[in-house]
Amino acid sequence: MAATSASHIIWFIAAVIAATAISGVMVSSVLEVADRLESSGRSMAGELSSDISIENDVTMVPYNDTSRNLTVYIKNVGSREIYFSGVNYTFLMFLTGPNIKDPDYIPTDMTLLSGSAFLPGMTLRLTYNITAPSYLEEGNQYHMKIIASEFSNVGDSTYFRITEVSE
Amino acid sequence: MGISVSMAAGVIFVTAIISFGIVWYAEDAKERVVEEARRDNVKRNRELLDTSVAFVNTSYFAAPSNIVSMNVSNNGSTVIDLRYTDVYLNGTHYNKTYIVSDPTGQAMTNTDIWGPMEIVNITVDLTSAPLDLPVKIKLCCPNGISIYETIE
Repeated sequence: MAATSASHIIWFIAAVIAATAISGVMVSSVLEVADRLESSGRSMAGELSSDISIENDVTMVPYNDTSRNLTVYIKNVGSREIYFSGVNYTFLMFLTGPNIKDPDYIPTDMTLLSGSAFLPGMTLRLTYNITAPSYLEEGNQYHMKIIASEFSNVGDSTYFRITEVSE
Repeated sequence: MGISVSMAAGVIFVTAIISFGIVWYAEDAKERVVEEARRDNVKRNRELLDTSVAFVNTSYFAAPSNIVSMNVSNNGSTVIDLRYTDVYLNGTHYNKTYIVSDPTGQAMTNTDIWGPMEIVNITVDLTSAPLDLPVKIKLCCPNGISIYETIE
């Protein structure tokens, strides 16, 4: 009789331990799924609320032939702040056209035309140095695509021509 | 044995219910955030459709003034923030000053808001680096709507 009770208690304890272990694994996986859902929601909402627009007069994009600097103005036409600092929060440019050997550029300078944060409505001046052997010439047609590195789906693209300027 | 199995099943069942609740709550929170962003997007698109501006006249006062002056009318139904309205001359951004006039022509100082039916006079001082004619003007509103004009 005592042996049977002991056996029942052992079975009971083993079952509870096994059930608790399974529950622990289940809760841990579920919390991970919930975390992923939350972060994917934030990311989707961020992309939906963010947008930029290339604001240059596309027939006269300023380019300095000596410094090889191309000046691009982008406007935050979304409804949230877009971060810009360092390599993680920058604006990548993909440039194609005659005499462009290297299509990828990151800005050498990012300057807000007003304020201290890139808020909706504000304009950011980006300077891209078109390194040799690539160069731009007046009269030629080029294409640029600018992507906000914070969100891979937020960007703008346009065909353009340059106007040579002195800095 | 019987009570052990029941107990274990009960623990797993309760955990399953709680897990379902956690996932449900997370999915609901995600949907709410995305839905809010979608509504915001629709609102922005509607504002784009409601924005309309047009040049009334433009002029270039040569030396010694060296000033570009333009009168622009807000023909849409949205309010435009002039602080974030940009002026480009021959492709380059320039700083500006502005004065808004109401539909009766009364100038309003100390306002950055450009309402429907109002006309704004925007001037750009080119004293430091005068431009040769023709000068191509691009005016760009905070939501990206833009208009062009050339002073011959």
